[in-house]
Amino acid sequence: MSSLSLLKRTTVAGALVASAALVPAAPAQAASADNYWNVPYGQLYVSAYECNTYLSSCSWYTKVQLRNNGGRVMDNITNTTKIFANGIGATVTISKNQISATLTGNQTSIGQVRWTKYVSNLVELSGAARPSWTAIGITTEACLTGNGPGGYGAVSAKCARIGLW
Amino acid sequence: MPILLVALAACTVQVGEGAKPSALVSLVGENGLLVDPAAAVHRPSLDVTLSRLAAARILGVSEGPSPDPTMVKQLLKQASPEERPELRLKWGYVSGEPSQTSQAIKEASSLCPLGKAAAPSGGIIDCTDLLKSMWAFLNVSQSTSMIPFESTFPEKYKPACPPSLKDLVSQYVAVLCGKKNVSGDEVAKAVAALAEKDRFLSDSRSLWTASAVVTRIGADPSPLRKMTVRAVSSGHVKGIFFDEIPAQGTLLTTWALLHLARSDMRGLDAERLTQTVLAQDPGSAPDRRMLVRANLALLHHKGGPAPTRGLTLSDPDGPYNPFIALAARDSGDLAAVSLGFSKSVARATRDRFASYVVTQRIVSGASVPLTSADVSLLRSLLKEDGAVGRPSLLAATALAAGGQATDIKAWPVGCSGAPWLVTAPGNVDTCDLRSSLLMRLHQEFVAPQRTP
Repeated sequence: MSSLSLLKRTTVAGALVASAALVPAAPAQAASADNYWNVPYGQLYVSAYECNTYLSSCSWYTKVQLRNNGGRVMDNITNTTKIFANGIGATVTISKNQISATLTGNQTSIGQVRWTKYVSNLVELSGAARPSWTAIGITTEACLTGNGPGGYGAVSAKCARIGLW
Repeated sequence: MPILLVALAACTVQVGEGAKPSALVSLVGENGLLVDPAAAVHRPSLDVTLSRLAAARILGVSEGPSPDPTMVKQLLKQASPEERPELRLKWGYVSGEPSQTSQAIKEASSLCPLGKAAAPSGGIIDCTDLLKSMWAFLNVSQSTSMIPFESTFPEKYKPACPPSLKDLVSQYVAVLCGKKNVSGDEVAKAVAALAEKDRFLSDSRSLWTASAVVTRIGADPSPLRKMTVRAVSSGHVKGIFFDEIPAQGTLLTTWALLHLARSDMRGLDAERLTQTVLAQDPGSAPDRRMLVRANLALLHHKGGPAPTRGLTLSDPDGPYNPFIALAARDSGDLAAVSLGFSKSVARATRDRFASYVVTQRIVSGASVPLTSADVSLLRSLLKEDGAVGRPSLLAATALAAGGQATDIKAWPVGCSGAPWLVTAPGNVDTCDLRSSLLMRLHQEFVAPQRTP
C-alpha cells in the first residue's frame, strides 16, 4: 500500500457569500435513499462514507458502482473524488491507498483523486484524512462518470458529498 | 486567487410566530442522516450554469441570467485542465463568442495532441472521451466550429447507432450517429418517464442532453421548456448557478447535531431519523455501534444494539477523541471508553495534550489533575492565536477540565439557522461542529465553579 501525502491549505480572499434565499436547496430524499440513478442497463450508485472507525486514524472512502446490471459491464467507469478543506487557513493531510489512482492538488485548490477502470463496474477510493485542530473540516465529493455498456454512451456526472468535521 | 462563492443550501423557513422549525430539518441528508452544515454548502458550478443556459439557448428559452464574464473567466481558470476545453466550448455557445470555441479547440489540442495524451498530472486523461464529448456538443449545437475541430482532430468521433431508443442517452447517441427514425413520441415518453419517476433528469447535463435531442428531432419541446425555465430561474449569483451535489449524513454528525440541538427538534421527522439510524450497519466497529446507541438515546428510542464494550481511543491525534467519549456518555457506554496512550505520549504536542485532558475529564467525570507544567503548556496554546481561534478554545476547555477556569472570548453564535452552532472566527458562514461541542463542554466544565 502506498501513501501519498498532500498538505493542503485553502486561502480565501474577497469571498462572496450568497444569501441563502438565492440558492436552490438540496432536496431531502427518502430516509432510506442512497445516491442512485436508474439507467436502462442497471443502477448507477455513488456513495461517500464516514470513517470506518473513530478509534484509530479516520479514513475517507468513496465508491462508484453499476449495480443491478443483469451481467452488463460499463465500458469504463471513473471515480473522481475531490477533497476540500473547509475554512480559512484550514490544513488537512490526505493520503490515498490505491496505487493506480492519481492525486492532484496544490495549496490553493482542492485535492483530487481519480481512478478510471475499463470494462468494470466498481471503483473504490479510500485514504486517511486527518483534519487538524485548526481545520474546520473536510468535505469529500465523489463523482461517477463513464461510458455505459456498448452503445449506451457517456454518463453525466453523478455525485455525492460528505463532511468530516 | 480562488473564488469562494458559497451559499448554504440549508435555510430555515419562518412558518409563523413560535413555529420556527429546528435547523435540523434542513440538515437531513440524501441518506436520511444529518449532514455537516459545511458539507451542505453549495459551490458555484460552471458546468451546471452552462448546461442549463445551453439548454435554454437550444430550446429558445429567453429567460435566464447572463453570467458575469469575469466570474466565468475565473471559474474556467480554476477548472481542471481536462474539464476546461468542454466548459469553454459551452461558454462559447452560451455567450455567442466564437473566440471561446476556438480557444476550447486549442486547449483540447494542447492537452490531447493528435487526440491522444496523458494527463499533465501524470494520471490518465481519456482524450477520446473528451474529444467525443466535444464533437457531440458541436454536432448537436450545429456549430460552424465543427470544421476546425475536425481538421484539428481528424479521427472520426461519430458513435455507432444504439440498438434501442428507449432512453434519452440512447436517443442522444442516435441523433449523433445520424439515425433518422427517432420518433417524437418515443422521446416525449422518455422525457416524461424520467421527469416523473427518476432523478436522472434533475441534473443539468441531462437537461442539456434532453433539450438537444428534442430540438434535433423536432419533438414537442414544451415539457422541457417548462423545466428549463424553472432551472434557469432558480437562485444564482452574478449569473452563476450552484452545484447540485447532494450531501450525505453520517452517524457521528447526526449524533453531534442532536447533542447540540437538545430539545430543538421542532419539525424534524424523528421517527424517520430513528429508522434510518437503526438501519445503519455498524459492522464490527464498537464505536459505530456506540454511535447508533447514542443517536437512539437522543431520539428517545428504546431498544437498538446491545451496550458497547472495548472503546479504546488509540490515536493520540484523533480529531474526535473527546467527542467519542461524549457520545459514549450519551449512549450509556462511557464505562467502555479508555485512552490507549499515556499522558506522556499525549504531551508531545499541545493540541494532542489539550484533547487528552478534555477526553479524560469526560471519561472520569472529575477534574483532571494538572501540574504547573501542564497548565503552562495549555496556556501557551491558549495565547498562541490571540485567544480567538479553535486551538484557544480547545486549550480553554482543557484548562477548565483541569479546574482552571478560563474565560473564552465571545464567538459568533448562530449558524445555518441554528442558534446552538458557532461560526469559527474569521470563517464567514462556516459552521464549526467541533468548536460548538467544545463550547458546550467548556460551559459544562466551568459551570459548577461559578455556581455558589
